[in-house]
Amino acid sequence: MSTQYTDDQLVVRIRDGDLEALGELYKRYKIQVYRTALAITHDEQMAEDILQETFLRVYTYADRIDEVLPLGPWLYRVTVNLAYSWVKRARLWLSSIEGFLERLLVPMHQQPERLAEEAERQRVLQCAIDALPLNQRVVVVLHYLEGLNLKEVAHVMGVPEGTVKSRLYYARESLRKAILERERRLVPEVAYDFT
Amino acid sequence: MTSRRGVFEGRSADELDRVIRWALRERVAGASPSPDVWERIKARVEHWAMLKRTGEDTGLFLAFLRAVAAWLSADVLQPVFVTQPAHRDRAMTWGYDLGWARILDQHHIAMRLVS
Repeated sequence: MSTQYTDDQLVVRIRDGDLEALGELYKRYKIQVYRTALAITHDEQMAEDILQETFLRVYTYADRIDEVLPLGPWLYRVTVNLAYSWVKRARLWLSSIEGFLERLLVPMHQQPERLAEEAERQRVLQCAIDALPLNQRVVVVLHYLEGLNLKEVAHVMGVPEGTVKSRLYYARESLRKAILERERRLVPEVAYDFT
Repeated sequence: MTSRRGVFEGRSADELDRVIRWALRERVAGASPSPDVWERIKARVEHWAMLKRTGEDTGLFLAFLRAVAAWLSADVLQPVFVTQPAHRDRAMTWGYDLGWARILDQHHIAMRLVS
């Protein structure tokens, strides 16, 4: 099978149980789904599980997919919903090892000279993104990484555009504070500010 | 890791946007799922298809059993419990009844006479 089939044609074929059609859709969208899941969860194994579950849902619910509409937003929505479930499920488990990890990382904090500056910047930013509430993190990922505008993000998340705007505002504020905090810690006399 | 020297040196909102975008791209840079994922999806779908086929086969078998039961009830039970009472006084109808059904009906009539 080649790429001559459109998404909606493939969906129709999947309804008839065509595994090859599902494979074709998987090839087209696996990176988008995986990247979104990975950016939200920051966990490769979890992102793969979400990717797998997303396409099993495409197969199971193919008859509920409106083939007239583009498939991308539907996939984003399923991915985001699954990411919510996965992250919430993992949170309990993570909280139990959080203390252990903190103890493990303390020596690194105490010896910043051993870390490359880029790695430190990355670490701070990644931690700040991970620390965002899930609702805000999803908005940030869809908007900044996937390039969706606010209206599209609102559609994917099933919330009003104003809610997306507000979540994005608070997310940016949190990230700005994290960056400034890091700058102040490294160079106390220099305090850059983002407007 | 992508070099991003001076990434914190800007002051504008645009710069903050760029920093966030950069951090997210770094987070997923070069990431791609392992080929095992598709193999797992395929295995699950094939398993479901197999279960569905088994279910359909079982359904066909059950449908066959139901048909047999319906045929039996039409030919054996119906004369006793449905048709028979209406024709109770017509001796000629006994001719094509099954033997045991007639016995049951006769027993039924006998019981009514006794009571």
